[in-house]
Amino acid sequence: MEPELSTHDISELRFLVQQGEPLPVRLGSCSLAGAVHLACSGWLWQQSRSPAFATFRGWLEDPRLALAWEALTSNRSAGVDYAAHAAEILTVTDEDSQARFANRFRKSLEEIGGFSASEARGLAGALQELADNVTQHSGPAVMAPASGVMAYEVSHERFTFAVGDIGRGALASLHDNPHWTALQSEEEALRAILEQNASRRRVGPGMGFRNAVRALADLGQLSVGSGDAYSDVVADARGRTGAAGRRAPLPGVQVALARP
Amino acid sequence: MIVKVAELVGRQLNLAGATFAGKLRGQVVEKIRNSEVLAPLVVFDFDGIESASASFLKALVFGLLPEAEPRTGLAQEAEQPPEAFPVVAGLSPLVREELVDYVELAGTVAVEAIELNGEELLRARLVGHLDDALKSTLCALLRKGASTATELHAEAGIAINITAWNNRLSDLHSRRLARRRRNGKQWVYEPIARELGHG
Repeated sequence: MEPELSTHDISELRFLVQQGEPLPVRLGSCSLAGAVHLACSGWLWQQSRSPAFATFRGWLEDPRLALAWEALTSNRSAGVDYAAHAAEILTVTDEDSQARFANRFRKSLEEIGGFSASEARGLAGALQELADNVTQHSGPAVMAPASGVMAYEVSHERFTFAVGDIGRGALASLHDNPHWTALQSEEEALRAILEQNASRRRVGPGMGFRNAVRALADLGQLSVGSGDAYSDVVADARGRTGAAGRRAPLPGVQVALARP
Repeated sequence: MIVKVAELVGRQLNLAGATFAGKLRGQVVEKIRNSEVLAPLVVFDFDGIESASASFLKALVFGLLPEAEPRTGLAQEAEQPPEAFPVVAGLSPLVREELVDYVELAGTVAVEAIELNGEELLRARLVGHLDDALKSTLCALLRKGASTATELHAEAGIAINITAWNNRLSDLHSRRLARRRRNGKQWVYEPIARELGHG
């Protein structure tokens, strides 16, 4: 079985488009995080009237990608239930919807994933915080957030959740705060958020990503991308390792946390 | 003013998100504006709540402190809350853990109510960090009761001038650890509680 396309594979596709290289007509399956990144990339190609968008439309046979695209470009919201689901890919809308979504994720982690109640609570809280970050920080004001996707998948002792938006990204958001105006790049902005709890708000540290980093515990993968930068953290039995660098530019912020 | 958080949030037991907390804070601010009491004590009672994220606590409780919102963005975001003295109560272990995480990271303090008499805070404890200068000023205020900077300066008899006392007292007020009222040209300060322990 071929490995699923990762967020780095999706960045490679954007590099191909940047360089005017042809895209493959058929793609393998996307991972959940890959699907969110690719949906955001599709939006970028559509907005820039790139010929890549026509190829992208052909890739929408991938069910995860199709759902992520629908969630990003229209209002794909769920009912009001609190039942466990193995997978959901929805539009980031209001805080009530986010709370129900997080509750279903929590229940799924317990009932499908077999995670403890406290672990499930922590992970669901982290997902809710990251979805709320789209509302709080993706637009120029809380009242005008950019479009965003929130998604999760749960199987026995495994999970992935991903949140992505096509907004202004981490650097522009942090520049709202006079304390962070000296930041020059998306790479610096991601480092400030992950290591120094930087926030758009003038008072108090940013706490949204802290929960995600903590939820990693000692086993999992966290990946964060903004603009032309990414930062990955992998936790395993040997400890935590990090990697950061440049990716092909993509609007907004995309985050995924997984225990594969 | 007692704000029962469980009643405010409906069926939810696990609370997260600054947006949600910001809307709830809006309801509390409305109550403060409609209250007959000026600069009221606002007790956020978390009894019945399992967990609340640090972002949620930051936006709801610390959002009532001055300068809690960015000045950029929509006017709605920039508006300062009315003067109020937020304290917390009924903390579950998980809510307390997030509160401690936030105050330690922010280098600030929260006030946890231990004993109330109606709207009056009799005993409370500080959660978080207060630097030594502010701590000693607060101790002096707790010992002496309602005082001006001049009075504390006279009593202390140490090399801290009146301006420094004034600055420290003003800082305690902006952290909502002390109330103040005008008396002629001077501010008279008094601690938010009769007894205020630490930790």
